[in-house]
Amino acid sequence: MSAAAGYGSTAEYMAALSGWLAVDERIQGYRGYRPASLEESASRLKGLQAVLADEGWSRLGWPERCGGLGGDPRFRGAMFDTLWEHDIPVPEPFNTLEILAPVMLVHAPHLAQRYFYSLLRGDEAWAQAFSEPDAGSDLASLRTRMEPDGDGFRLTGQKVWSSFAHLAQRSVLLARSGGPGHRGLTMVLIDLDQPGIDVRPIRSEDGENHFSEIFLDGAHVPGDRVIGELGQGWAIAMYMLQWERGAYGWLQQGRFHSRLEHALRLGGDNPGSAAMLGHAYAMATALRLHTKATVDRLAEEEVLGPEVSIDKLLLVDAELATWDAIRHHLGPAFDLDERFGWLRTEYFFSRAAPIYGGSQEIQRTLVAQRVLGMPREK
Amino acid sequence: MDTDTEQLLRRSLTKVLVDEADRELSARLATLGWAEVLDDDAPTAFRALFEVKGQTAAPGDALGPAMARAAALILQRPELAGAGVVLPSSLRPDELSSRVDKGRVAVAGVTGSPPGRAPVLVPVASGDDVAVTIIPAGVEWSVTELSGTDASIGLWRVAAEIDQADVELVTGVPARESWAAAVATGRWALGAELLGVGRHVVATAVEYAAQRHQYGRPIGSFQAVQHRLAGAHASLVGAGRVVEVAANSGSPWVATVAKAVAGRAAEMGCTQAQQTFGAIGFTWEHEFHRYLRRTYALDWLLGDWRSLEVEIGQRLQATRSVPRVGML
Ligand SMILES: Cc1cc2nc3c(=O)[nH]c(=O)nc-3n(C[C@H](O)[C@H](O)[C@H](O)COP(=O)(O)OP(=O)(O)OC[C@H]3O[C@@H](n4cnc5c(N)ncnc54)[C@H](O)[C@@H]3O)c2cc1C
Repeated sequence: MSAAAGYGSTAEYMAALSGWLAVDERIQGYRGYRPASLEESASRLKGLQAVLADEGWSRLGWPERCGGLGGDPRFRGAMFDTLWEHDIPVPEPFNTLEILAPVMLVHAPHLAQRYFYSLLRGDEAWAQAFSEPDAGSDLASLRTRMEPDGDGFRLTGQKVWSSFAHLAQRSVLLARSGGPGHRGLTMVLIDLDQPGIDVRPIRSEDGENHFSEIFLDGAHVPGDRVIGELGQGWAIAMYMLQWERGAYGWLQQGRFHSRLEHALRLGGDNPGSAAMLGHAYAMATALRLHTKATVDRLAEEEVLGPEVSIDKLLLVDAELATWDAIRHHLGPAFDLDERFGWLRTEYFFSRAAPIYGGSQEIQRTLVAQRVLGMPREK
Repeated sequence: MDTDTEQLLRRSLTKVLVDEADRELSARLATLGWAEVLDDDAPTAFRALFEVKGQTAAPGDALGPAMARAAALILQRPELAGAGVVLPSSLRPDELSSRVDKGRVAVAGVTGSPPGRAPVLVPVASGDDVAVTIIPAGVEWSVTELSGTDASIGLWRVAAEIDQADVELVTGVPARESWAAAVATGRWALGAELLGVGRHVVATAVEYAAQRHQYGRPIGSFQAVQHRLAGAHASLVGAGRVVEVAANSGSPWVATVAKAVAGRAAEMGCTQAQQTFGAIGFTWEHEFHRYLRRTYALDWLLGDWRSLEVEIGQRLQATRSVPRVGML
């Protein structure tokens, strides 16, 4: 594929992509790929990311000015769905890309232009460093300092729970450049590979090194690495939520459908799991159709507000229900059998769904107060 | 139908359903030019009707005509569009309680309007297959009104014994397809009605929580109250997406999922609203119990959500594939 602009609709694109996935030799090793570890998966799936970019499939739906091929942004979501349908895992960095790139395109076009393509192709990976040991749900209380330093800035502090940071070359980071509160925050893009930075992986419940802590001791950020303006960090983080909660949900529902299908094909059929499977499917369908509507709105360039918390709440329901059902469907073997190791990893990750990206409680409060208009606590 | 027209339609429907509740529903709808509205965009119009009916807990047989219309389209018999439908006694669409055998049609089931005046469609067991009988007006029926949990919903248990020669019998593929289409429409339509009920109780609970003060502040400012209602709201929004796609696609599978998610979300909405209302919500005088009763009654029609989840799960296990509903 090179004349990517030739697809009149996502359906046409998906049909063409399906056809290509079925025959291209470079793809076959990724079908049904079950990683031995997160690190193995990250390194292995770079190859898939490169092929998808080189052949143009993943460039569709991104603007030409940053290395995309243009066209409707929904082509991106269509690609994820098609890959999952073929039991080909969508490489993890696409989650980050879907969340960060739209923001960079608007608030740091020069950085998007410089880095987007290597990110898309998997030549480099980025992390997000927002949370701190003392700033979780109350993110705006974060303390990592950002101070002027020559032509740029110096960062001092500590970040934590940064997903895949030990496999990343750069990270988006939120730091305090001014006074207390929301207005004192700035978002920057930092290079992780430098003397002032120490990235230490943390072993997670799923047995992997899912996330890292990042120690910043006078780390340097060039002045042109500010995303948006100084002091605009909070506003940009809020802007990012549209994708973090909407587009991310669409990508994930594809995984839930795919994993449910995989589990069904493994057999199992533990008695009593039909109700759980039916429930999981119903929740995954609700998530799918709701995030589809969100992705449609994003494609029409609508600016979404606090209602995106509903996407996250539906994701939590679907993710928990899906993995509860898979575990129960496969029965004792799920917890005892060697060959289900990779499934167990994903199962354990699902337990974090109500925590990561803003906890279920925080989303419910947002929906109550900002969508339903319930009174705020004084 | 564009959004403005739809809003307008919903307002007219609310008026018609609330103000003239004692007149027969079809007559009231006729004053809105309902037939033309349906010809223009039946999925949107029916969704509006059923959601508003749920929001107002209004009586009236909307289900029969909606199901009949779906069957009539398949049978290419437009004159049957306003007919009544007799559901199997168990209210489960696949457990046929009426049968045709040796020249006799024995009908037993449940319907939303007492039959007699208009033609009635009845799914009947014919050997191992489903057939559809079209029973003309004027037949002798035994009719008992069902006044259980929800005395105002308007359901009747009916029975009749008729000579096969006096009815029209559709068999084979048209029978199967028309009954399947009727069930699909019935399921998403009931899903829409359940959504309406759920939205209403959550919205009234949100309002109440802003007015009612305890400890010197509105109870709606307590996080425990907020979280109940926010969770219920999110589930209703998700269910609404499935109902909408079910209506537009006409797929029996999606309709089944739609009724399951909507039924669950409505019941959850009732649970959370009930707790928010405190003791006042437990009074006979408060409207809440009417909505709770309506939720329970609607849930049984064409399969309750718990059974539907099992049905969906069994289907997934049997086919070992997971259909993706809706494409980007
Ligand atoms: C798997 C995983 C991946 C992650 N990846 C990243 C990443 O890449 N980058 C990054 O920056 N961060 C990441 N995080 C961190 C994540 O954003 C935080 O965990 C989350 O914001 C919650 O913060 P916390 O863990 O400090 O919990 P806390 O804020 O301490 O909350 C603990 C509990 O208290 C509840 N709680 C807190 N405040 C309130 C309140 N006001 N009302 C009601 N309940 C409340 C919470 O809901 C939760 O149940 C990740 C976390 C996980 C689990």
